Amino acid sequence: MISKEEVKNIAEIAKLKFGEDELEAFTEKFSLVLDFVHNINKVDTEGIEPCYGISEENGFFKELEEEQTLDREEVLKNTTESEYGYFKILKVVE
Amino acid sequence: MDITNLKAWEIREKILNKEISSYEVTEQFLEKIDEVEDEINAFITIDADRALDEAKKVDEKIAQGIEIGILAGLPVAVKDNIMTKNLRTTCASKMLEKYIPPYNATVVEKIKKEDGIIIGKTNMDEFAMGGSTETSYFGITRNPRNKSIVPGGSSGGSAAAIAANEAALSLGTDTGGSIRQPASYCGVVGIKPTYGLVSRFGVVPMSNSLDQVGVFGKDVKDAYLALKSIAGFDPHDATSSKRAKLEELNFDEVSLKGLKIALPKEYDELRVKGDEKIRVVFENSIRVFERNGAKIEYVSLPYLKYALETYYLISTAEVSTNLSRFDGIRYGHRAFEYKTLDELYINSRTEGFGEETKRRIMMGTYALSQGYKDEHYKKALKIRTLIKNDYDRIFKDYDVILSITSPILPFPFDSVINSPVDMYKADTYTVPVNLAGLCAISVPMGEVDSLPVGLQITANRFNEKTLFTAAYGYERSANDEL
Repeated sequence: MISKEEVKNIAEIAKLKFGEDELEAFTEKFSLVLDFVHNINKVDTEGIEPCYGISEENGFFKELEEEQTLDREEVLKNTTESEYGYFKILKVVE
Repeated sequence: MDITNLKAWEIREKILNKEISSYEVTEQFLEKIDEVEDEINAFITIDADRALDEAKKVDEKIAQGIEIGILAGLPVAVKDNIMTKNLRTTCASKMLEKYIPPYNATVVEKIKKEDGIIIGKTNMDEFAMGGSTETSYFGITRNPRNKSIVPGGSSGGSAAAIAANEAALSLGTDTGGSIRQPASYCGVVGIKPTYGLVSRFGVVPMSNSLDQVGVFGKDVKDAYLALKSIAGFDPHDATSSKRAKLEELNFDEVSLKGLKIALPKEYDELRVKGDEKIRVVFENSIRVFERNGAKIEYVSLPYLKYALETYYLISTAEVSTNLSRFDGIRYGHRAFEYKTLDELYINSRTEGFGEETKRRIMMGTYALSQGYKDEHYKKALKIRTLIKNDYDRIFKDYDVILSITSPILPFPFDSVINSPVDMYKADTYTVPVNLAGLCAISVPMGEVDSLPVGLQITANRFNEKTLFTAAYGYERSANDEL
């Protein structure tokens, strides 16, 4: 089981907010899912390496391309507020 | 004549023989969309004018005798988590309701290069999380085979667009079954290729180590044609493989004789309540392989039993880190009300994401949080190694593994979605394939209670040729026996 307080704490880390009713319902569904995943704890994984990805190939370096950045105006079209060619947000330092 | 009910490869031949123009084909598909879309809702955005313009250009190329790409003017529908330059790409989320990508995904560039026509963007579960397309911000998609039933998901719109003759071919993405399960539910063919065969550049990531772009078609040859157009190494995607290539396959020479088939006996332990009728259809399809000279044996993959839990821990961990990019600043929904920067993040994310997306972000945040990381996430990664080892051992001696695609029938709206664990269990047969990076295809194998059910064929990494051989051999034999 997971408590409402724990769920609240995780929400803070995830930068999400839930109303009291939502939190209640969420804690319930969340507990069901957690009970289900706890099943893996019975598997013996002593000495087994974790698998972060499937590829056995080494990474590679990209060729340096000129003009590889996106057009500033195009990119700024998707923000809510921009000014002087920058993203505009509220003042964060005094 | 209604061209939209033909297979893509048949339409392609007609365009190349100049029996019909790409413009006429595109027009017919757009008319079909007009006719059925109110009910089906397979698309979030339809790009009619541009599609007709592009079709005209392809026709000019054909008229001038200029060499034409393998998609030769065929209308293609693209899942809405794949970026299309200057064409809205929403991931079926309020978060990206107005997002216009400044560049194309590599797969979109490839479709254009092969002279495919992008006809529109298809509906899906929000950020590809779900198995019914019910979590979309843009409304549900109805299954063309039965309108009171879900089309599956998350690529439900792409599967429905094929089943309803709204596109010749379509693209989807598959992280844990999101192509194969909707293919099964809509009675079409869907393939999830080997991890690294198709570029993920420009595809909005859900779980990077599991996501793969794949295709839908009316039959196996259609799926082959579509996959051929998008496969290949891409220097823009660091996880793209240098081995990425779809080998040539002569369909006329395909035979099932001598094909070595493995049936994991663990599937008996993983049974879901109510799957009896689906299993009867499955037994019949095994007999089709047998009658055509394939050799079938039972094998053991002991760690398959833990695949679902492993999948949910790894995928949600990756989801939570991936979706942290949505901060309300650079793109995506920004809340109207906030007093601090932190409130800007929190309010934008809380308003922009739907319930299932939030649940998975929360789950992943929990799995990665201090104190639980080793117990959950690391543990899951180790079991992933054990699952991969199981498959590697089996594929030393066998060509393909057979299973059903989904242990539950396509279900009515607002039913399974209310029980997240049941919804997850529907992925029993599909998620292990993603964990091990293998390739798998879902091919229609019959009906249960007048609803389509799919056969899943799985092959080893980069063994798509074997996969298509088995799938086409089965499809042809099953049709002959009807």
